[in-house]
Amino acid sequence: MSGEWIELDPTELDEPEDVLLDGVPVTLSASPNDVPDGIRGYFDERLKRFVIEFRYPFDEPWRRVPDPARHVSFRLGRNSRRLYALEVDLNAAKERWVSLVVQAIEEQKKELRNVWRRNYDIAANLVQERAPQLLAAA
Amino acid sequence: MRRSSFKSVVYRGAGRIEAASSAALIFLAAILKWDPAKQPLPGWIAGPALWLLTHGIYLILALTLISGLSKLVRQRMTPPSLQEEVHWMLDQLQRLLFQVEHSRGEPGHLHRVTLFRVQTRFPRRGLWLVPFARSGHTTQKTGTMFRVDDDPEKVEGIAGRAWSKGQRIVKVQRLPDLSGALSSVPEARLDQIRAYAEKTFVSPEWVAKRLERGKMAARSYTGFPIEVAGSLWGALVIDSMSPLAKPNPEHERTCTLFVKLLEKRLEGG
Repeated sequence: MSGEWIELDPTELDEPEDVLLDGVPVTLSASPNDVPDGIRGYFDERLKRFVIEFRYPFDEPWRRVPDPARHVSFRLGRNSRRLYALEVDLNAAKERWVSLVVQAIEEQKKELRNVWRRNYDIAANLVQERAPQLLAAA
Repeated sequence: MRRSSFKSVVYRGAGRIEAASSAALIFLAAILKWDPAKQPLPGWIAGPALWLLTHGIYLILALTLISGLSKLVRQRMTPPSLQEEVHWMLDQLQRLLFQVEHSRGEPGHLHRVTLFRVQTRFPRRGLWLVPFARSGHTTQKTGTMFRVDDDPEKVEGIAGRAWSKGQRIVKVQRLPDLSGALSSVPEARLDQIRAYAEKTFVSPEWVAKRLERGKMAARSYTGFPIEVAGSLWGALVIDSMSPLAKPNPEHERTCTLFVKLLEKRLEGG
């Protein structure tokens, strides 16, 4: 059922960012727990969806959050709201699936309001960069 | 903050009381099944056994309560072994990050690694980041705490900023040097303190009090959020009198690995 994990180098996925935090110059980086060290894609026969999973240092229980408009469901960490997986309806999304997934992640990120969260950006970048590889491995 | 012998005595004592209570409960349960008419005992032991038989039910209730309280005390406390292990880990990280400073003979308390745990602090309201362990052997006695809250404006310190919802590593460096602040003219001192406080997300009064107590004002900070089982547990703060914040790029991977190991250890309890 599941595709092979594609190994990732977390240090290459996150660049420190110089920002003003409440007017104070600081350098922000993602928490080590927010940067995946693996990604894989597989077709889940039961869900009839293409699943993209992100692997992190630690697991936690997740909850499913659907985005029907974009044919995507998220698996978000119950406590951390980290993005653990995406379930994509490829039949409905068709060839636009990558852009729909990225849009859905952007929308989901807005739910966090003022919280600075690199995890969602990293996930969106990975989907864009690795889409052909993920589909091939499925 | 650590190696509190009193806490160790209480923790170990509670463990022994719990074990002794459990053993006594088993013994009493056996006594309650004893029938003096069918199973006569020698006179020297029959008296105490009869007393236990008469009062057994009350003793069982009392011992159950004692055992439960001892267990509760242990559950509420941090095992001393965990605190010692964490302290050892912080020492190792401090040595690794500040090798150059050590080789220059700079004292350890100028470059520290502190682990803060989020908890309530009665009678204060809300949640606070309270020191759990700190590298080295000096500057261990500290009342430093930082308030944390869902409202970003109420979050204090670099530790608070790292802990707050963003799940981010926060680095602040090239902070004003306050080592001569107390000898400055009052206006200049106030300006320096205000600038420092603003850049470290604390109040000027807090900084001024620290200086008056002879405490150092670090020139750089890096705060890491510490997560256990998906929930924010606290924050790890590296502070230094060096204006450039640690870790250096060459130590970033090691530092990240260290944070993950620390979280894994804390998850184990």
